[in-house]
Amino acid sequence: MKISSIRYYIEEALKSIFRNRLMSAASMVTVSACSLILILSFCVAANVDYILEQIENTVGVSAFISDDISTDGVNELYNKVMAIQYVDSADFISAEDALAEYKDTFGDDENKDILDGLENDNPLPRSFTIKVENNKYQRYVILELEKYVGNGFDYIKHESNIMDVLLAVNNVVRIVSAVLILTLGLISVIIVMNTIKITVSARSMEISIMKYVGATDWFIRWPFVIEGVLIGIVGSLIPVALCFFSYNSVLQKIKSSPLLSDLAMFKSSMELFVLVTPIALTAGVLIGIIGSASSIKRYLKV
Amino acid sequence: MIHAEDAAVTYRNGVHGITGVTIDIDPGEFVFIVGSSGSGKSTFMKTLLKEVELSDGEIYVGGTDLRTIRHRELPYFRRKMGVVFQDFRLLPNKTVYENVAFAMRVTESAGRDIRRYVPAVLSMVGLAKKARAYPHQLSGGEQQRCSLARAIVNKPPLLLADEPTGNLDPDTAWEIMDLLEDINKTGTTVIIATHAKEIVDTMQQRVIALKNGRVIRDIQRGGYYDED
Repeated sequence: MKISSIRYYIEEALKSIFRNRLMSAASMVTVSACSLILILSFCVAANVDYILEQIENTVGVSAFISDDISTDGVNELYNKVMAIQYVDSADFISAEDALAEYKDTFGDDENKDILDGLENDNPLPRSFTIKVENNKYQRYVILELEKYVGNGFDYIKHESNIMDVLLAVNNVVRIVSAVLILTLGLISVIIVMNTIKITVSARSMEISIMKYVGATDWFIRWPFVIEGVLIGIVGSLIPVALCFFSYNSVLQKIKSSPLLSDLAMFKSSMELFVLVTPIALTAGVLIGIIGSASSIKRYLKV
Repeated sequence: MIHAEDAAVTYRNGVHGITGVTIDIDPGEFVFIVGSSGSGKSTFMKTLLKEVELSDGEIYVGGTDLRTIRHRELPYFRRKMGVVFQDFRLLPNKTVYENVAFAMRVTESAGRDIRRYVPAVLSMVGLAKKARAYPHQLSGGEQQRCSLARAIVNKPPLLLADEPTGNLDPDTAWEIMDLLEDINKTGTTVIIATHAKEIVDTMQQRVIALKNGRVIRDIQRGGYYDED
């Protein structure tokens, strides 16, 4: 392909977009709508994932060791726990550690005297804080651990209900957004196809003349493909910019409100948009290419 | 240049476009294809362009077998011929210069060549002063000259003209025929499908007459009808 031809293709594409500005704008808006949903669902899914990950790191399973177990017994118990499939780690928390942590949490001035007395006769049990490789195996691990209750452990404490709810929410978000993205993607392709079909049929005489003077199919196709790609790029970049700035300002609001910022950590806008921009762009460009290539096919048969 | 043997085209609806056409046209010839509407003139021209498919027989154009040519080879095949239509088929949003340059751009000619050949061809057809005009600003004759310029700018060895004077008044028609004769003198084979009796009778060139898709007469020099 020659440089002069490339220039010609781009010029033709730009002219065509300008000449059919209303339909071009309509296509861009449709691609934008599709891209917007894609970005929004991506933002929600990425943040739910991110929050889950944080909770994962804080929510472990605690297995409390019976008082009558000796130090050797604790080691034996540790090996048993680590032998359970999907167990990532098991941290031993001694009675002293547990008390220190308890004091950290509740040891303000009022309670100081009461807590100070506990050191001589520590009532807190020893325990293991167990991390699971993946949250979906947590239930299995808990069931395995419960087999040792009365046989090493006093009881098992866990918060698997919260994890279950979060996992379910995440799944719903993923399915709903996938369906929305696919549907809107299809609608966008059809609308871009129609836009380009209109410009193609308006130029069907031009195309037939091109065929008579010996233009190759690709020579005819390129301007239309570039037109579709340009519509796709502009259409997908508008919502990227829009979402970036609104996400940023929402994030700022959350950060400045102490109540909300304690609730959860959100992904930074940079982190999120480094990922979402190429995805939206690729989707837009693909919609443009599919839309234009399929609408011109019929006219090339002469 | 052209060798047709028992060439036949049958359209999908069963209509026979041409039947048993056997013709040989040498390089540099000037040939009229005559006949009334529906005689098969246009079908024959379209077959040469490979716009319609042969259903039987064979046709070679410039040594290329039309039966075996592939879709992707078609553009390169068509670059060896110029085409002129009754309705000019100029691009309305391009100037005269751009319309002619377009044919060169399509074949990916260098910009330098485009800038050199297009003005030369435009002055040959007498449109040098109208280079910046748009088709709607031209008379019918001027539009046909522009489409002639476009047809010959790539210097094709073969020029096909389908009713080139059909939309023109007699004086203008003669101007176009003179131009076609000039083009023929440069060595280009010219094939004209027409039913302009007066022109054919006056020019006394080779005439191939078609009726109901068959060749009914092929004479080296003559008029529209048989002398007898």
